[in-house]
Amino acid sequence: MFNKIINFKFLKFLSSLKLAVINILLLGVISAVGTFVESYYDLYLAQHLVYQSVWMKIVLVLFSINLLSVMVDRWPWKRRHMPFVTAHLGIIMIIIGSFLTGEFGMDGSMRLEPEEQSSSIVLNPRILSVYSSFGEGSFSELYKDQPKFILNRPSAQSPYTISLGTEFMEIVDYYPYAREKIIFQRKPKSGWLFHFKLSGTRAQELSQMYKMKRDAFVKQQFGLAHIVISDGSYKSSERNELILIPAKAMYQLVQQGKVRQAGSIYKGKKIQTGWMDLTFELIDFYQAEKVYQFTPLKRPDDNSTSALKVRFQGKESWMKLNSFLSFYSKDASYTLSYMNQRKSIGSTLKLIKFQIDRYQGSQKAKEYSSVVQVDGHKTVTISMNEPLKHNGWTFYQSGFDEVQTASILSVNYDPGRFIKYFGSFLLVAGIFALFYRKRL
Amino acid sequence: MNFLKIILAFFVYSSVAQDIPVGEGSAKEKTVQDLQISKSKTGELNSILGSIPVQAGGRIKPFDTFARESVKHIYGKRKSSYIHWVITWLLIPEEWMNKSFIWIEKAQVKKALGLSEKESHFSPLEILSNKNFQREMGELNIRREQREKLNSYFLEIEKLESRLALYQAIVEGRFPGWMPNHVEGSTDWLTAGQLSGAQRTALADVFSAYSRAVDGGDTQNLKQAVNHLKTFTKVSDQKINIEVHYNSLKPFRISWIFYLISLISLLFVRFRNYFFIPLGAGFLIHTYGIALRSYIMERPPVSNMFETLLWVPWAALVISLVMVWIRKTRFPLVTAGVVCFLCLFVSDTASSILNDQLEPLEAVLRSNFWLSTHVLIITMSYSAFFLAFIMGDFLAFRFLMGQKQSKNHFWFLQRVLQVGVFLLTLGTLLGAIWADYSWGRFWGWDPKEVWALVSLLGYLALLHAKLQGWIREFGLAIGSILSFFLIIMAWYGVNFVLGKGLHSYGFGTGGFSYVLAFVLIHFVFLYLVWRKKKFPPFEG
Repeated sequence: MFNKIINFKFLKFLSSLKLAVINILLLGVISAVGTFVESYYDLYLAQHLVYQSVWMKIVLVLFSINLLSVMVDRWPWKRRHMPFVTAHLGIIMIIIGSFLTGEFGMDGSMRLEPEEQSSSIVLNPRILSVYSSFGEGSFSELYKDQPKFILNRPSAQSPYTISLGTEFMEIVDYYPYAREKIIFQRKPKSGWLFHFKLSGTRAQELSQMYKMKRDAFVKQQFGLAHIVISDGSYKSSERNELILIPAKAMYQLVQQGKVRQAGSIYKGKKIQTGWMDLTFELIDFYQAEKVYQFTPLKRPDDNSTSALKVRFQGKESWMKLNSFLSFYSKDASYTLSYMNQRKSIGSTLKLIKFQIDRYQGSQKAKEYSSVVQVDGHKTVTISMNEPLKHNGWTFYQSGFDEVQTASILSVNYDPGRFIKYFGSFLLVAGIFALFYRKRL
Repeated sequence: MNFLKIILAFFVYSSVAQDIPVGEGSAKEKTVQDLQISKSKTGELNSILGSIPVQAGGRIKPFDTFARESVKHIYGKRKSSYIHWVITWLLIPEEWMNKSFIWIEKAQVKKALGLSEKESHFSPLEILSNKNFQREMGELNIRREQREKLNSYFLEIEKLESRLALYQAIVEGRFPGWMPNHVEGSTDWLTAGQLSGAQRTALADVFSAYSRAVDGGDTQNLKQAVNHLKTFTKVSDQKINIEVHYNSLKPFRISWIFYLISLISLLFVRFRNYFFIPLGAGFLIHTYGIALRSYIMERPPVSNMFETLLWVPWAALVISLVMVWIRKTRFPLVTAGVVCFLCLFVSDTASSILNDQLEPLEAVLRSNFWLSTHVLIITMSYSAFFLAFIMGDFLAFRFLMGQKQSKNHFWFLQRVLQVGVFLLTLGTLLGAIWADYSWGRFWGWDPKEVWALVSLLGYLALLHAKLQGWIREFGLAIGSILSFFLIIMAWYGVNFVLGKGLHSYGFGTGGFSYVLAFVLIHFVFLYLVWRKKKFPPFEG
């Protein structure tokens, strides 16, 4: 009996207008706070801190219960209840649809340069994983997690620990926003850094190249020729090449596929390359270690990235989002990766052409579109307001990278779409009927 | 490097100017002061030259529009002799070197450049030879390279740079485009510097006829030269002339004056019953202005803050007309009159903050269907809530004055709130569907959509609180004042305060202190109302 009264009262509260008003206000306040977080920081933080927070979920669940019980409370419905029922059912359906989208849908992006092809998309979650390599190209995944460093910042006192059987790695710091700077520190028994100048009658270029210790060689193209830094094992396969072998302080000049010239290298050494009229001048070369430095920023900007500080066997190093870092212990080598989640979509898109239509006589974009080839045969155009539907996925033209002429597509799969649309229709129709019939 | 170029430009005559025969009494021998021409002549010359089509800002527009926009951009204000200014920039730039006409708004910038803080305009020489300016430009470029978010100081430096750049481009004959290009696949028009042969002569003829006309010569020659020039451009006169007509008519200024007259007439018992005459006149001109703007741009006028300030009051008046048709009282018309006056007055006077240019649409907005459903509907909900806000003000004011309240007034308030909630829901959901259709995102927590939701929730809380009996009619009036601040945030705040998100095409800066003052004054007003507490009885 007593129980019943309590339950009844509780049910009354759940279906009360009081709770409705409280819920509406809470939802409004939380959402509003989110926009300020986004404006000061970015959407990523706003999503984690506000829009997808526990508080938001609690309010939304309460809101849905409130809406459901208010409708149950009116049961059996009469004709006059119909506008009320329709409008509130509409809201419930939109919430359910959004839940389905959030839980089972995918929302990623695909960046394609001309002639590039891809069959995977990049998603928002950031994945931390560790691979172990066993010699030539064989890897096995030892660890995988989706840590939310933005909410729980690791520190030296409370690190995030990755257990790798007998050994372990620790994440000891995290900068949500940081600026990256690469510096080279002189250090014996490490990689080789070269500063050199290429000059000719037309142009003059100061450059630097770096070969990491574990690489046999690095190769970079300058005009029609290559410059190679090698440990001595490199065999030329190009027509024109300058091969620098710092360990032996030697160089080889390859012209028309044959070694034409060889000699020693030293600071200030000039070599007539014979390609056009270019002269190679060695300014300096020494052994150095490549170090990534990160300065923390208060707020993000277009150039900032997130960075992790990793500790392994007493040694600490930094890495940024979407990069790899390799570690070597006595008997194993590990690769730590911190990347946005990738997902294969089961079909391949190749960008044939990306075009920007501009307003006459100006740089202002009027329209942009991508001509893509789907799975090697069908060729279609994706433009703004004209998405492509294929295999359950929808591909939208979402933006472009003007500097590198790449097209950015947003790719998604949304199982909640129909329910959301139907809910929207019910909500609008319900409100219309409610207001048409009566004033407050 | 760029800097040197700018300076150099001032010592090199524009290529066209060199072609002009320097005869006796030609423009070249005059100083700028001598070139101040009489008002009557200005009007005549403006109308002759104004109708020449040029290409600038991504579309073909009359030279009239181009000159107005350029002068407003560089000088910061409108100027009746705008055409004369632009043409003499081109013909006798050396005369302008020492003339103070380049606008710098912020005192902070003037201080940093070591310029007089009392002045608002400076000469090209003063700025370009300024070592501090060169240093600040260097600083700006470093920030740009690092893609840092610019603060208001560097935004102002950037504006100054764009003023100088536009002036320089005009002086060097690189802007605007004067004649169509005959190269296949290119839609770029040829600028003064690129013209050759008969085309070049035609333009030079116009300029020399112009300088003779300024000297008191015949305008007949000028008309002939202009007509000859137009035979090369092959643009239909009709649209160009309509735009010139729109520019010179200033329909929205005329209509806010009419709206104001109508509101003033309400204060006098003798004229009170005739208030609808100036209101109707204002509405007709307002409608005409919107129609002209839509015709010229071939789209509904809702692409930025300025255009919504034209559309929102118009829709408010239409909504109130429908209401008056149901219940015949002048109350909704009066409130709509206030909305119309306020919006159009702001749109006309805040021209340094708002962008009143006729600009082509951003790529994302290029869908007339969605633009005229989602955007029109969502801004119409602002109209309804604006009406509710003014009605709330009005009712609270009557309360403060101890006057009796009419039930009719509350009927209108409720109805207008309902209309607003319906339109805002429909508009927001249509926006979600558009976003889903175009970018695959039904709801992406974009600030503009979040604030539309927050406003909607605010009004829903209000209506439900009324239903629950927590508030009564009077609470609804106060609530519609408070909730309108959410609409102000969604309408103005997201674009001008938060400044982030997908709706970035509508962004601007400035005006924050005015809007804040407007809101704070209302809080003081509400405090006074709250102190009085006791609710007066209804009439009848």
